Amino acid sequence: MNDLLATVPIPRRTMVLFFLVDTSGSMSGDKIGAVNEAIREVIPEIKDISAENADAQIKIAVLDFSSGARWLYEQPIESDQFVWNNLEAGGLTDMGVAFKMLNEKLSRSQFMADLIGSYAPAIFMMSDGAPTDEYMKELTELRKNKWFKVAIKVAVAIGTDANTEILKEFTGNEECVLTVRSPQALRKMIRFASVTASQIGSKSSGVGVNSSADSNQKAADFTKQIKDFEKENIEANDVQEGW
Amino acid sequence: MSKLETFHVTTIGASHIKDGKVCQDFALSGEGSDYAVVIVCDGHGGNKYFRSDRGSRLAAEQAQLAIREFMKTRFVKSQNGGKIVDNIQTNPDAFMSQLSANIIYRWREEIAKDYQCEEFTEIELAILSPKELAAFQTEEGWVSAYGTTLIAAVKTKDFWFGLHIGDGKCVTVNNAGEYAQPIPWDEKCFLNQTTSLCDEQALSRFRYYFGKEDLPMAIFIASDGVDDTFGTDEALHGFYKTVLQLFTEKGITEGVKELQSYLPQLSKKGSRDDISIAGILVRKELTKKK
Repeated sequence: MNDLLATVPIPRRTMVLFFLVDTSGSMSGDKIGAVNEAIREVIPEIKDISAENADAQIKIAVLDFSSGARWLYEQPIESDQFVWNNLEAGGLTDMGVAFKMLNEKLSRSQFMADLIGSYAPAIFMMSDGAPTDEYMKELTELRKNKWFKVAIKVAVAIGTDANTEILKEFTGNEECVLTVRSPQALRKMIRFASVTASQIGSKSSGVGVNSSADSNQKAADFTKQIKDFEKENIEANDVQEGW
Repeated sequence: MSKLETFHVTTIGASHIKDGKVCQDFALSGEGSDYAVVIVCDGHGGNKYFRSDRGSRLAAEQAQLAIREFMKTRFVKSQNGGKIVDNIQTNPDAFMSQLSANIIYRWREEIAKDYQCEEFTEIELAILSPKELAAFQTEEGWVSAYGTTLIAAVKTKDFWFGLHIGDGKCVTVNNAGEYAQPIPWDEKCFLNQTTSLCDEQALSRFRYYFGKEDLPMAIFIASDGVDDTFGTDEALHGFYKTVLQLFTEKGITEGVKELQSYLPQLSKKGSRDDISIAGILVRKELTKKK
């Protein structure tokens, strides 16, 4: 190979894994404890997936929402540099604000800046309740966002008080809304869903597929794996109780 | 005296080799009597685009013929005084719109001939979903099997233009060494989605750039296998800077050979897609940089 051309740097493509975490008052105690523990534990696995993946590197972005919403970092962070800071629970459930802030960042001028020609993001939302703000308008706008449309999306309803209807509207697929009833089940689900989304989302499938088929296929693969996982683990959810 | 040189290179994508698929890119380059032209077409890779390799080749060939015809007949008498004027310079919008329409027309004629000569086989149709199969059975449904993008660039000593439908990129370099992508982008081209010659409203999806000043010393056009590899404009322009350096050091002929042999590595490490690059270079400006 020509020496000059051999020196041309070829950047790795990027996939961003988003965590949207409800940190309202009702998440206090075991629930937020389980979330913190689960995400901290899964980061090394995501880092491994990223390191072993010749196709893409995985970056992580976290938005927590209670009274208002906040990004943990200003930009998505490479998984091998990501440090998890424990989230604390308290306040209301401004889901509409979270949707608005996510919509703003899902753009080429924001979090998707280095994603020209790269992979669609994966978005993982966790909530134990219902929004306390006017969320519908923001969710409607978010669902028009082209990055959001092609993203792999999964939502975890934590406990039986969570509004699964809104989570279904968020994912656009009721099979990607999972209900967990214990801290153990929550940790398992966070680990499985984020690892699976990272693996599928960063895979270089059907190159040159010039249609929405590529993102549809990834979403279908993800849904199937989630359903299989839920089936195999549903007994664990049934017998374990309480937060 | 400056001379226009052209080149084109194509390689099959690493993932196409792995999946046993053919190369769906097609590129060509050449010089007319007073202009140089380069064309790159990228056939779509999804299941239902199973003849897009033919589509891309036919698109490139027909675009070349259309451009040849339009460039030959562009000098017309003006309405006042019968003076001869260059149509493209006096009315570039109309020229480019007519050229785009002509390319679509010619391409559709050719793919129709191909389809009539050889109807879709059972093997070709077997990979379609029921929904895709149903769509193929409509009057114009078969056209999408040949779907492709197209980028063309033409340069004379007085002007240049770029014409584009779909993804892929056109990058220019001026004498000051500044890189630009002057053809407007189509926001409908997003991630793996692209507009196409096979779209019903293809004419409305063509976009172009026409320039008479600060003419570029180099124009590069490439399929999205290249810009998907580099991700950002900065990285893409950096790549072309290296290519120009290669041509300056080794000469264009040798440089093109080395670029061709590099492409499989580029695909393997990068997008894994088919890759085509074509370019128009002003030799005088290149040798000046020595």
